[in-house]
Amino acid sequence: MPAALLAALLLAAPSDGALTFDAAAGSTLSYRLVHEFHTVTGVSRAVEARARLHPDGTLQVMVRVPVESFDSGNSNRDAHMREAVEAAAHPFVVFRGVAADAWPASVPGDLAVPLRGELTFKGLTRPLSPTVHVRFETGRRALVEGSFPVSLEAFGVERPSLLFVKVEDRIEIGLHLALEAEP
Amino acid sequence: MPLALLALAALVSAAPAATPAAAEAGPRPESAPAPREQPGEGPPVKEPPAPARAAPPPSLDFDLLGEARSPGPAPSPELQRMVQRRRTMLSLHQGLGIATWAAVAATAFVGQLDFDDRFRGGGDTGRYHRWHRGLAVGGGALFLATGLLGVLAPEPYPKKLRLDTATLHKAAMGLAAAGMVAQIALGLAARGRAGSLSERRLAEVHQVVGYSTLGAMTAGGLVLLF
Repeated sequence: MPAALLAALLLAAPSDGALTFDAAAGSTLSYRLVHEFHTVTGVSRAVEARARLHPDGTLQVMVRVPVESFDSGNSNRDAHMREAVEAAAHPFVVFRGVAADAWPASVPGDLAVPLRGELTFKGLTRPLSPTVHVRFETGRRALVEGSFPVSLEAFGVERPSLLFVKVEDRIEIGLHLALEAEP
Repeated sequence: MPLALLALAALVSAAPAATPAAAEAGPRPESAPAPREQPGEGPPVKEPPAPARAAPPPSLDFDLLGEARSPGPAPSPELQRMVQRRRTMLSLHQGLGIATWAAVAATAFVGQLDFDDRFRGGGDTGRYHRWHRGLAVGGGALFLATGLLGVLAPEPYPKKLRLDTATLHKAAMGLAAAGMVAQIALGLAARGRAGSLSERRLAEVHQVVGYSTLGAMTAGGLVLLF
């Protein structure tokens, strides 16, 4: 029976045997930024993401989010953020990552996946190795959760300020992906 | 057709690994958990069926999403100039805004002293009046300059109209602007009727509007902290 199910999965997969998952509705990428006076959370729901799970357990992930899609609940602040990250010249935040051994032991099942990757933000690419938590709800649907810190100055972002007090350099990126296998 | 053949081949090659015992004997490292079948929904995801079938690139040089079109304005030197001008103007707006609040607060304080001196048994010495008028002129000029910097700052990136703290700030400052205009008119009118019975009445209204204006400015500033 398991072999038959695996075969069914493979039937749906392209000829290289890899399963491809795409971001479904409900996927978000957020940033949490700390200022002396308040903490700001900006959320984007315009997340493009695709993950390819190869038969040998290798996982490739790519996530892309338009900078202008982040909503912090304040249009002035969002416009300021676009200015600070030069959204016109660098309209996307992009993450690429790979991991080994990303097949779950069972389904439903949880898996901690250490990714080796790189983040491209404001035109600069820096290595980033977050560990994400993946919950395979079925063999064709997975939820990915993760959060990791990013230094604004490492990406050449001049830290915005309010009342002449700059925000902290470290922001927290939160990832929530609902992934569904391509039909 | 080739896909079906591939699936059949995979079925044959994957079958031994489908049992836990076979999985243990396969290429999975010892540290990896043995696959197990769970009751209920979902296909069990198992051992890689055929390691030789796919050789994913080890590097990060891949593009799973393809080309994307920029959703925002195109970069241009003009846009960059607008961004820089906006930053400069809004930085000045913040600095002058704080100075304006301080000037208006001082005007209200000295205005209260002036009112007490003239109408509440202070002896009507007039010693605070010039200070009050000077601060009012200075505060009004600062208010006008600060407001113009905020209103005239270019907007290189379009903003959505919504109820947020920035909108509340603008609404509060709009109210304060109306208060400033009323203050000037009331102050001049009260002084113009010096000695008449209506002078005190006008001065009292001037006083109430003045504190209200200061309150609106305070609220407009504080709301930005949230």
